[in-house]
Amino acid sequence: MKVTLWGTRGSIPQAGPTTVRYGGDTASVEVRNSDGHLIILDAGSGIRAIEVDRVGTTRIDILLTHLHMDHVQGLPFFAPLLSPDYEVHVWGPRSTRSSLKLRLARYLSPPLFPVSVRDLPNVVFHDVMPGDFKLGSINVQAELISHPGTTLGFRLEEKNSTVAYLPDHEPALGMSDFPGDPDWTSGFDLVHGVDVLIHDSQYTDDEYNERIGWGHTSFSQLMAFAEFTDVAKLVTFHHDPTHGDAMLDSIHDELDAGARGYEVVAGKTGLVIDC
Amino acid sequence: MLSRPPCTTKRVLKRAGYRYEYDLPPQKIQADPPLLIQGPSRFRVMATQQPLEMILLRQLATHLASPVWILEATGELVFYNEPAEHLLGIQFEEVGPLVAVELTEMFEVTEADGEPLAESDLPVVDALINRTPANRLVRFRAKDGVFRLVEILAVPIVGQGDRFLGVLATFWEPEPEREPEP
Repeated sequence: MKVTLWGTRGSIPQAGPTTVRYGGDTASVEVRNSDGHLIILDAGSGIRAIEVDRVGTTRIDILLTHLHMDHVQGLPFFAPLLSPDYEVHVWGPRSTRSSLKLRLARYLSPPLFPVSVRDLPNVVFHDVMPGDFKLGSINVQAELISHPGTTLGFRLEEKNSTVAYLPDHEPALGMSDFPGDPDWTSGFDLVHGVDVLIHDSQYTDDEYNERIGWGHTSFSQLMAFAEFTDVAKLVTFHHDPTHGDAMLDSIHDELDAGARGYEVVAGKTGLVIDC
Repeated sequence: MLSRPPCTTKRVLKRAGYRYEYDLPPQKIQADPPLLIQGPSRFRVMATQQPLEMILLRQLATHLASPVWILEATGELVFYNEPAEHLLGIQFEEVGPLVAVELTEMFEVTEADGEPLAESDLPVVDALINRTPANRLVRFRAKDGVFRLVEILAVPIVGQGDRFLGVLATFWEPEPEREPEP
């Protein structure tokens, strides 16, 4: 698999001179399998940067972890949705009462947006429940994870490569001894032993203490979680919009200084990971 | 744009206490003590992790002052909180794995008047079998040897996609009847 980060920011796009290197677009990740099949993880504003026609792609699968705005706001601006040349499959969580399509229609309809879901004839919507499904040669495991609203995490596996993607995740919520028992830790099965973990790193420790329950992870919690789950490579992701390049550099310098059993990679727009 | 060297795959499962699987679709392998599997490389940890709904329930239960039990759909008691420990007189860690029907023996659960109670009438069993809420006043003997009356309310836990995940039970001791005031 080849993984490219196109949107690394959380909450809201943050364009400007302070976010040039880490990126200002919200969550979107391109995954290509060995055959060039295109899977896109989340449809934040970063999705617009993905070049879809470079290998003759006609089918595109978009996996949505959840429907918070920073993960879907790029969807209607993704050109293949309006093109008859592509077949786009959108996968994501339903709620207890509504399908994915109906839930997305709240955003993709007037007055919030001029184009409605019914105007997207080449798009197929799939409700994802916890479990496994195949997209070409990639096996996708989806599980519910701790974040406000129905939210999925994904584990992608092809041959001997594994990538886990949990961009919005608060596994420490309500836990006095995080990380504790694997049986009772959100996301453990998805993440355990993966080659690459792309994970929420929105807050500093001080910020987390003021925002418990908002659905995100602090850097120190993330380091503990990565160690606990025995990952090989950790990619920080979903950077807080108030964290500029200089601040993130400083944080990652400190992380690099710590001796760890896994590699820490700063999640920056344009980062390519070959697995 | 940065390019990274190819990832190395990592399949070493370091910790004891897990169950493992190989190949897909997942096939659960029960092993206690843990079974360390040699052979094909497609090993990974099986779903020892509880569903998120159960994780969040447990986290909530740890913060409640009301006694709470959580049972899996298999009937195994997987958690009870500190108020429940106080009520039963024994810590959860001391109890070990138990299924619902074993609870009636362990705590000598009977009808409120001391008459025998059928296993299927125990609210947690009733809720597990019928997947509907169940309520009953019962008598039990706590680990301190004292018989107590307790009201049990057991509620099925139904998760996303109508998955039946287990039962949540809560307990309260009825108010003692007061002497009429003169």
